[in-house]
Amino acid sequence: MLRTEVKQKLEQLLIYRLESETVRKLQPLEESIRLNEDLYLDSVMILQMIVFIEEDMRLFVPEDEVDPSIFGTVGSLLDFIIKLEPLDLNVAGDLGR
Amino acid sequence: MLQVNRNKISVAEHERNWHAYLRLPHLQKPQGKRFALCISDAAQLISLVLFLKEHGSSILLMHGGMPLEAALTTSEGAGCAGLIYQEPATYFANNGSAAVITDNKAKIYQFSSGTTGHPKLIGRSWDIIQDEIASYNEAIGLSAEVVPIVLTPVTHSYGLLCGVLASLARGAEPIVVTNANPKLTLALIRDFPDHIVYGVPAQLQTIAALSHGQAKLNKLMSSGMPMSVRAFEQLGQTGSKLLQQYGCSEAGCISLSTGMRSAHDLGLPLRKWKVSVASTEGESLMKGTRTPAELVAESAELTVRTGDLGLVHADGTLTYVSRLDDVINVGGLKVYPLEVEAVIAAMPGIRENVIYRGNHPIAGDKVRCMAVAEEKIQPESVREWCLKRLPAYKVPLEITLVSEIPKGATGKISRRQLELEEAVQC
Repeated sequence: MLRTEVKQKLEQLLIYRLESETVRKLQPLEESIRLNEDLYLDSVMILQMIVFIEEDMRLFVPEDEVDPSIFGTVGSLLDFIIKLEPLDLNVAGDLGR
Repeated sequence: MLQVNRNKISVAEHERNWHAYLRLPHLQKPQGKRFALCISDAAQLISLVLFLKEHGSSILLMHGGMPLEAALTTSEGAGCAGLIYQEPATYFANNGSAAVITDNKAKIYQFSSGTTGHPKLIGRSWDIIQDEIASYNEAIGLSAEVVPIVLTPVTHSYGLLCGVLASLARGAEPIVVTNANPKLTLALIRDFPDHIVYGVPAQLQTIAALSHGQAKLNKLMSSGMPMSVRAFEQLGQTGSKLLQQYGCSEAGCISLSTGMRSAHDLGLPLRKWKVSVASTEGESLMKGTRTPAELVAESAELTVRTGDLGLVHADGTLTYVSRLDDVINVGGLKVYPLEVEAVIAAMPGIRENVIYRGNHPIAGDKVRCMAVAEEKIQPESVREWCLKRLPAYKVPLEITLVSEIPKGATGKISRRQLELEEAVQC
């Protein structure tokens, strides 16, 4: 997926799933915008956001620690999302655990 | 001994930490001293707390995200010998601007304020905490095999005392999750099927949704904020056992439900507490009607007015109704309007401001600000000002600059009124 497409999907997710008024007002988001300080996403919201990334974007989020710097800015979050593999390819791997 | 994310911390490693602490100049004679701790690394924090407890020191716990300046001011305000900031070796001794206080009995301190008056320093001795841990473990009735998976911060009582210390006391090996990835929590839940997940309702809901078809949830413990009816229903559908505990900074854990019967079921008080509702003039005339009133908890040592409206039932169980004051509960972390108002009032150009509660669909409450400024000030600058002085969760989500803050008939600002007006508009 193109970076711009991913960014748009992310914005939709933040507006409609996380119900972020801030994102609605600021969109289209600059990549330098900080998730915590500027978009007011705290740890509880980020937890939920990751679940939506999997569900809505159909991407597989690995079951390991993620580097917290990923949630620094919109740009760093996009870098992370773009590297993720599609969910459906990994479903079998999950059940095999 | 315990695990942080996927990293096991053995007793040996914990002891090595202690040896390292003993070599630090500021920890040479720790007995009786108060140390402020602002540490994000859960493993370090836990090791250090246990070390300081063992050596008779008092601890002031603060949120790991506090900016340094604010942490220093808070540390001095509490009479601490100094502040340990992020690393055990990074120490800022009290610079003499405020008195250093020593304790005969070592305590754990926290700052708590209300909607009236200045921030209060609340201290509870380790003896009292040990006693609380013992009665907590008695009430919760979990064997050492049940693995606590703690999602809430260990910089606060719920995570530290109930999630970690109480678990260690009963021989369990808790797992502290500090990483933001819920898939990691899911993996841990799968790896440790006989678990109890400690969280706030929103976190438990997220994990429940994620685990659907992927992992079986065993026991869930909720606290920190009221659970919505919807959350209760969703969590009920997972087939797991739902527990809820209730407490406050002054009292610690007051009550515990080992099987929630409703979203607001707070269960039975711990052995040491006798809980009643403050009597009011408005006793209902109808027989059998119970009017909610403030929950008051009494123990041998103290009486605590919780600031929560609730009910005490004939079987001794407690039910939560609502908050009495204007405290804002952001995902379990408390924000006191007066504190944030004072920070914003100190900003050049701000004439007047009020902090009040709004509602957010996922986090629960949100922090709102209405301010009157002398010059053309942008909300972003108010935000930046706050971020330098407060942890991010206390910074207002919405800042509205107005020419005048609405006041009531008495000429006073009513936070409750502002809150209601916002609710009506939505």
